[in-house]
Amino acid sequence: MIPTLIIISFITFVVIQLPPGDFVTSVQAEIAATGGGMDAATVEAMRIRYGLDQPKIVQYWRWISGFPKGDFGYSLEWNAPVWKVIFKRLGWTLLISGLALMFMWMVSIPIGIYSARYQYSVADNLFSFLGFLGLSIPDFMLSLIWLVFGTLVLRVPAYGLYSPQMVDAPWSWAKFLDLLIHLWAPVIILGVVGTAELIRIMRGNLLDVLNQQYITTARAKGLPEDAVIRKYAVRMAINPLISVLGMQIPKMISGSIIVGVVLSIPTIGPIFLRSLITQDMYLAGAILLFMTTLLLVGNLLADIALAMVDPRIRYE
Amino acid sequence: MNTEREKYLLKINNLKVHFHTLEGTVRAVEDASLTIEPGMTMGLVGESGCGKSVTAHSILRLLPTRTCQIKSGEILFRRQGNNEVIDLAKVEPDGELIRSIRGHEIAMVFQEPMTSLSPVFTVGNQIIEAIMLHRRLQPQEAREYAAEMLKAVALPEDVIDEYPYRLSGGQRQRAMTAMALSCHPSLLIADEPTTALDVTTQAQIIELLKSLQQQLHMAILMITHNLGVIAETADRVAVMYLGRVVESGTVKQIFDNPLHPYTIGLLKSIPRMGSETKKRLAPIPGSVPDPLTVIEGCAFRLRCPVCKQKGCDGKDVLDAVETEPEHFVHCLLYSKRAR
Ligand SMILES: Nc1ncnc2c1ncn2[C@@H]1O[C@H](COP(=O)(O)OP(=O)(O)OP(=O)(O)O)[C@@H](O)[C@H]1O
Ligand SMILES: [Mg+2]
Repeated sequence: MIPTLIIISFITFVVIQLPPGDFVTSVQAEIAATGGGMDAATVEAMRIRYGLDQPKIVQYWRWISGFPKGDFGYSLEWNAPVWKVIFKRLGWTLLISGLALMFMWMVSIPIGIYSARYQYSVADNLFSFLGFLGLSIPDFMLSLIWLVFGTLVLRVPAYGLYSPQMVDAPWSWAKFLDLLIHLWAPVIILGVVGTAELIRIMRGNLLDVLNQQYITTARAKGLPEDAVIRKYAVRMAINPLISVLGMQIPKMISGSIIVGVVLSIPTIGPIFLRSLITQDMYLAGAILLFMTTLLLVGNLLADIALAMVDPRIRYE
Repeated sequence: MNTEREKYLLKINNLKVHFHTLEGTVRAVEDASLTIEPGMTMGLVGESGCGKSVTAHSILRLLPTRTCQIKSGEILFRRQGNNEVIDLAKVEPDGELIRSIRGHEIAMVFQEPMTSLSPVFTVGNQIIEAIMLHRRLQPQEAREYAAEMLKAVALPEDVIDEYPYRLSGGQRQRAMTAMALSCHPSLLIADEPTTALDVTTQAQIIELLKSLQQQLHMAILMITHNLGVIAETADRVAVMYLGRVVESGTVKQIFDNPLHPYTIGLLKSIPRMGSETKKRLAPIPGSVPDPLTVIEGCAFRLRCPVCKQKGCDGKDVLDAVETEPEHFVHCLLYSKRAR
């Protein structure tokens, strides 16, 4: 894991340096855009202050040598340690992605089971239709639709995490409820595509499993159909979903960036976008690094979960 | 004579089972009749696709309810205890009644030992489940009982906590057998129990079934392609062709005095010990017609080597003829003679 992270940190750093210019050039450009200007001496002084005059390899070393101490660099734009800038946002990202994953599983598994058991029934066809609809609408589009529909038609808060009067209020029951009211829509939007995918996978798996001989064996024992489905069919059909879980995690993270930007939720998304524009390299690098770590950890957890439910893997 | 015949355990009368598929109606079973007496072994033979498995699955009502329908006929089964006779063809296919019979009074072992146990539960778990479904036992008692069953099928004790994929094909088939017999069924349906196994293991499983049959006094419906297995195990044989039982009788009658041209062909197509080895094996000419086709009268007339010589067009309605006690044949050649 550690060597992987070192390699990843290196690649991230290189990728972030790829666009021409650096943080100072982007500051210059911004000042120029507002009609101001900077003389060459100021620019040079700034470069030296931020250490941007050093060779790239030194900059890289200064960045990663802080990692063991929990120091992930300094955000040039925010004038604060990277960790401080992203800490809270990372939490929101994890919360929203985690809730979206839970939503996906809780909705898709029962629907998948129902659709397979009552294949081609009216409800199955309806779920298939909704599923394809969900698959074909990208998440930024859904976010925009919700923004317009929620604000103009339903007149509910469709924006941000709290109502304006609640933002600075101390924690209370009312503030918590306010948060919930704001949170459910982004969670569902983030989960829609995955839910549709998982329904299709679950339905297909279960139809497959239901043709297996051991299902007939279970029925021939005299087991009630519900128990056959629950114990023998669902148990097997769910295994591939766990591998899919590993693949869902990066989608959740990239999705949370987009949904965060559109619905103005303080996820990692908005500042990540901003840090790339301003070439705030340590911030962008650290965010990328955290995302990759999350992905690795997610895959690891999925593998462990799979080994826990499938004895064939456990023994190898 | 007549009263003796009424002692049947299972009696299938003119069973007709159809599948409704996109291509049309598959006439899997058209006219199957057979009688199984308590404690005896009935062999069911016939070419692939003739409807043996469908007949077997009909007994336990395991066929898919959406596409499959029992069109007519009856499956009379005498229950344990009160000797009450019920018609399994008419019971609710997912109801309480059939479930109390499945695995309890009628059990089944399947052809594919590799896939007939779930890979994610231990052998013990799956056997104990079967026991607890039908008997009022504490989990610990059920476990002891499962261990006893495993011993009865000559499996080592620790198999109870093994996962099926760690066992060999023969071991799995033994475990399946242990599970099937755990509630002392009065009828065991064995659908090609040895087809997927090597010859030595085949012989072992057959021996095992025979000895357990004696101990438990159960009847067996032995479905197989292998006439050798039939000769070794069965008391009576039913020969199926294209969804019809065309001939049935005792093993001796069928092997020594086959009457239906199909049975004669089937016996000629296998090597037999003791016959002159110079004689070549004779496969039956032609192949089994598509089960979608509707055939009036004799289903075998399209391939029958005898009927043309004897001036039989095979188109008349035919009924079973009892040519000697217990020996039935569905063939116009005999029904004309009888008339
Ligand atoms: N679920 C099903 N849907 C449609 N047709 C089926 C289904 N199951 C069986 N059939 C058809 O019913 C006919 C009889 O099949 P069955 O499985 O009983 O043959 P069998 O005698 O057991 O053959 P084998 O020796 O190969 O096992 C076949 O033509 C088969 O295609
Ligand atoms: Mg079969």
